[in-house]
Amino acid sequence: MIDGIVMDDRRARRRGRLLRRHLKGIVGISILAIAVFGALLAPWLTAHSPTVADAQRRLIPPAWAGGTASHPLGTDQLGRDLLTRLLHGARISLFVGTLAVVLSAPIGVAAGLWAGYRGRLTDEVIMRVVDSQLSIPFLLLAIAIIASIGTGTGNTILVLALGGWPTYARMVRGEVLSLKEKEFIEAARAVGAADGRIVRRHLLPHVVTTTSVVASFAVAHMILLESTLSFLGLGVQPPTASWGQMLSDAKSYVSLQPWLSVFPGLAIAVTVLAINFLGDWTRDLLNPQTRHL
Amino acid sequence: MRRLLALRLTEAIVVLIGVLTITFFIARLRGDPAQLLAGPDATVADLAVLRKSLGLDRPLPDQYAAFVANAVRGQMGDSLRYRTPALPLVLERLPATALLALGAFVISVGVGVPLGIIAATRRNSVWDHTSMSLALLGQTVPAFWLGSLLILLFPLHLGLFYTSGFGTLGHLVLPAVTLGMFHTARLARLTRGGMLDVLSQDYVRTAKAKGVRAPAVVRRHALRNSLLPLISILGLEVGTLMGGSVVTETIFAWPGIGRLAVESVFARDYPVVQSVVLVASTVFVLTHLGVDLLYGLADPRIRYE
Repeated sequence: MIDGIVMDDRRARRRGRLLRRHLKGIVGISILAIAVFGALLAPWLTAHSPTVADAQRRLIPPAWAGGTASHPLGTDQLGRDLLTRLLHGARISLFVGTLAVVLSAPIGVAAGLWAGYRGRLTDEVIMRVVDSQLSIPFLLLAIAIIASIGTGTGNTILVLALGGWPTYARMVRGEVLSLKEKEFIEAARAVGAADGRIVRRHLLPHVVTTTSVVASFAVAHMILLESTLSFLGLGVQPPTASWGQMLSDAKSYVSLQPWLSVFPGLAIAVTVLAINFLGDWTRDLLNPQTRHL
Repeated sequence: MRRLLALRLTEAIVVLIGVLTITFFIARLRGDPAQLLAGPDATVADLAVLRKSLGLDRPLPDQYAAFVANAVRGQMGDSLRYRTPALPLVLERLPATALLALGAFVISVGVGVPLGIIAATRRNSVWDHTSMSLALLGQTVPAFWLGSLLILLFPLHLGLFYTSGFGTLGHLVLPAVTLGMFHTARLARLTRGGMLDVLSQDYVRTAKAKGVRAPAVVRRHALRNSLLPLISILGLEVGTLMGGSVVTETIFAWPGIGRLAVESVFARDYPVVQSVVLVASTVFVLTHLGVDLLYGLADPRIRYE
């Protein structure tokens, strides 16, 4: 009998520990799942259009603040349903953020592998480019590129990808420099493996883990940057709904129609938080040493 | 020390040349920069004249040499909007941005570092959890949203501070908080991490074993050693503060270089955009250089590496 109670207690404690260890992962994945489903199913989840204006229905407050049930979060200054625009905004944010990382990470990893493995002049040149680019504040670099190539969703992705690669290059190079001295690389070289094969088969697999952790945090960062650019009017262009641009439109209504500012901001913050949680969780799973931080 | 100085100075110059090279190519991402530099109203004849005068009809290496030579002499072309040299326009606005960045810096060090120390010394306490949750929040809330919320709360509801403008210390508060929030949060987390590392060192245990009081252990043994790595992070912050000022200045109509850059994109005033990039990067590289040298002074180990 007593044994049973002790066992139960122990099991409960272990369950508590497991839950605490994976809490960030659970919360992160749940929020992201909602965002992804909302984004994918946006056209079927609401009956309204994200872009068509309706002058009769301007600035309706949320349902609980005297609005109507057909516009749960109210409408904006052009009479468009806020919830619909938020869901469509999730599409843009997740799409742009993910694609920017998918494009920039491989470039950065390739540059880092190459610089670290070849060393000497190759290393010197690539790392000076990296240093130089990182000396230009990211947002100003983005503004300069946009001033040159123009705004739009595609260009926003391009700008973020062009701006994102040096971080990976610097990190991967650092790892390759220490890996290069290890015996297994020497062994590969001794049996006559070509440089390309060593880099692909022996070095690349070792940097994939850290890269994917960094890349998952980078998605959050890219979403923030996209909404920042759109807020400034330099990113995704109207009528396409994006969270940053919705916030920018809401600026003039902040005192009388605060919901227009509150919800898009909340959407950005919660999404970014969820991705960061997911990043923390994977990092801790892969590297037990950082668990206490 | 002199060798370190020479080394760091060379590195800074190389990086600045790199920045110039990147800006040179950005203007040519779509081929001919003449259209960009002449603005949307230029006629075909105007373009031809500009191409000739800027040497854009010459081969790329010649163009590059001319661009670098002009930039070194501070000639970035004329602003299309104001019809005056672009660089002085940017330099005129630099003090406002510097003031904003300084305000944000003071807030982030003044709030972030103590928060991190409290969290680390009272690890796993309510203090630790509260300050780290706040820090996490501060890192996720986008600055442009925070700015809107602060405007909603303070000037509009409480009648405190200003929605926009420039001049008194009261005007600086909200923009500095908006810009400083992210850095405050990051500094708090980094300080906590650094302190925890140092607190687990043997010499801290020795100090405790000798009977040194806890505040003295923190102040004399832990803090000094954990602040050292923070110096180099603070140097990097300057760059992010300069970039972040773009958003903050736009929200609060602050007359700095960030807002100038955004206005210039809309006005299709490319020479000014280019000048802002170069000025901001130069400021970043120079502060970075200063921090590196300070670091060399503070930590003798660096000097001999």
